[in-house]
Amino acid sequence: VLQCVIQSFMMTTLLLTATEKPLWDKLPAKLREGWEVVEERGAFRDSPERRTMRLQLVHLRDPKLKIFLEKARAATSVDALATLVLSMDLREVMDADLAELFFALGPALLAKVMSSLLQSARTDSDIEGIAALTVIRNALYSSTTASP
Amino acid sequence: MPEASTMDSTGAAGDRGRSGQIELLREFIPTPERVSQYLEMNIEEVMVQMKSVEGREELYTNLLEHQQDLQQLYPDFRPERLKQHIDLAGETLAQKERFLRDIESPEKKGMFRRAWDSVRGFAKKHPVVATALVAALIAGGVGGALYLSGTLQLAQAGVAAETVKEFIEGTDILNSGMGGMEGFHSLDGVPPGL
Repeated sequence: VLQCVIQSFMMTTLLLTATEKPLWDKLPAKLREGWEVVEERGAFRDSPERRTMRLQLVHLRDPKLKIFLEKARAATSVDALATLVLSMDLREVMDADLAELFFALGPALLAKVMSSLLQSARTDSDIEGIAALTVIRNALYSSTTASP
Repeated sequence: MPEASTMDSTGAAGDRGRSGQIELLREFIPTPERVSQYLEMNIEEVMVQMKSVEGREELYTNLLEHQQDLQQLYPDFRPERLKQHIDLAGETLAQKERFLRDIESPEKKGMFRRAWDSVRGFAKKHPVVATALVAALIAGGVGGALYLSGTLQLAQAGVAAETVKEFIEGTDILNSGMGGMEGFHSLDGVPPGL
């Protein structure tokens, strides 16, 4: 699996689940050219309790995210909250906090995001982004199955 | 044992609602920080205990000694669920440790650095990624009808609609008023990496 992950990040391999593979196959042949697909066998049964607990264990470091949360709390209208969410720029978020956010999201919901992305992929850079997400998801799956 | 009026500043039991008034959390969620506060233990010691069956049993026994206080502070506190919650906290904590250790391992660190960079650029072009992550971020801090409405508006915009909605519905946030990302309140007490 490690080899697949490393290959994935060399932008040659995608770790896709059996459910995602048909979505991949529907993409134009030219877009799929040069990519190898390896089956992601990770599985994780999420639950409301697990999501709640993951949220409770999030520890963010970046003060900007704290400010963001304060703004979200202060938002007095739906428009303001929606605008705030959509204005968030991940380019300003540090690696450690991104890891926290992905852990909070969890592999199951990340998989849903990826399914959506696979259906709308149009360019090589789209596929490269999805490949990066498969690497992150694989690590999330591994963390749920490895022995303590 | 902290007073209820101080809980807001620690994020342990309450959170300021949109009206500015303290919203009392209805159910006690035994995170390492809260357990360390109630039992007046070092948080690292709590984390170590949470990782073993014996340790969790001991925490459970000790917390039960504060049952009356907990029931007063958390109206929906149910002692029979406490053990289950402590086990889940320990399991989730272990998962998080494994995830962070994995991505920081020497053989993968560089790879993940590039992965984060790639995701940043990718998210700019595809708001679905950023929205899902941001939803995870604010879900713990913004509860109630406004957040739900905001989510629905995002849904109308076609941005990660189902994912965001499922995430919100999949937590107790809207029903219990549980909120407050502890990390924003108590970074000082948290060991690096957790």
